Amino acid sequence: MNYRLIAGFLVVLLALLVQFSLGAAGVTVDLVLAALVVLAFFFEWPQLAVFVLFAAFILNAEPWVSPAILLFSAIPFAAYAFRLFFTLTPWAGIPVAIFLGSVLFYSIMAPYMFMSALPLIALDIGGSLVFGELAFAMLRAAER
Amino acid sequence: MTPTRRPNLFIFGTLIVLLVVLIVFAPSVGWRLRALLTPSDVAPGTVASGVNASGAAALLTENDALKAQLAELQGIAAALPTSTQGFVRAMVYSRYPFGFKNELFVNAGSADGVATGSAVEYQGMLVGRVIDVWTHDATVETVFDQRFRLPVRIGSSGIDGLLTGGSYPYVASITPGTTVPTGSVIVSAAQGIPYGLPIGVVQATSTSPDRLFQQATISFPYNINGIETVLIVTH
Repeated sequence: MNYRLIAGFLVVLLALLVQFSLGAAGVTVDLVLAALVVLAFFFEWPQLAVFVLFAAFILNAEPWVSPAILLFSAIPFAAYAFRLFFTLTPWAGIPVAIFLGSVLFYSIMAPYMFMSALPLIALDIGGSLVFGELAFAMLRAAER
Repeated sequence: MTPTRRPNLFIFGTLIVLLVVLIVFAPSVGWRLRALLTPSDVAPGTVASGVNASGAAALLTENDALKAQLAELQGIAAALPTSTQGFVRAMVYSRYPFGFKNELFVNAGSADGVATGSAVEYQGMLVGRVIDVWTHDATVETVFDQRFRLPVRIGSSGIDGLLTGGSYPYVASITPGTTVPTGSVIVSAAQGIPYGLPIGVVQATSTSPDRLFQQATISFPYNINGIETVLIVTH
């Protein structure tokens, strides 16, 4: 039994559940992206691809693959490359990768929000950072 | 973090192919899974406590719709054009998954008479407008989207304002010094949208950050996340 894989799946499922629950209450945070960035620090690319595609499968809202979903799917792999090229400790690398990934996501998909809704972006990134550290702790615990 | 286990490429390769096939050819399965993960209850604060939530929400919606009708009769009914539009009922099959947009995806498109800019209603209230149309699908930008803007009128005196979308939509550009009573109904007054569709009611007013205008926060009698069907105005 691979506890790390199960923990990875649970992290994605938890992120989806919390994101949808908060969304239903009017709080918009993209926790799944943060979860996948964290997973990029724990898994090799084939496992990461399964997690990313599973999340994209649940999140994809349209009958076709939207540019947002493509970018969303690419960011965890960018984090994976970030992990390979920069030898930061996970405690430091994960928050940096989440922050950069979220800023990149907003910059490309909704640059207007930097002008009109900066507090919402700050809330999203702050929530993602907190969730990222929680996911990191879960995966570390599963490794022991 | 150094991964220690070498992944089984055959198993993960099969899973990757399976998920890609599902994403491309069976996205509706994902929507159903998503619906299972999404709570369907009404958000706190949208209905009075101590009563049946769905019943109270329906009553509040009806109340706002009646207020809108009253406002029309008192002051602006004379300006109402003779309406000849029809409606098509559409199912909301999915919602935009990320925080920076608030869009609904519905199962009616150009084949059903839906056009870009068409008004979208829920229980008689304007909830958004169509921004993209395909043969059998359409994308609806709701009033909770950051980009949504719509000229509106407030109350029986027809005070002009600009509905500004977002997580907490508000009416901007209200002339300073104008009295905007709390509870006044806000109705549509934009080209391409039927005149007088109720949107919500005034919750509170304040001075805009630039101190040039007044603005009003809005109370909505429905939960946008609970909407499953809408009516789209066809021309």
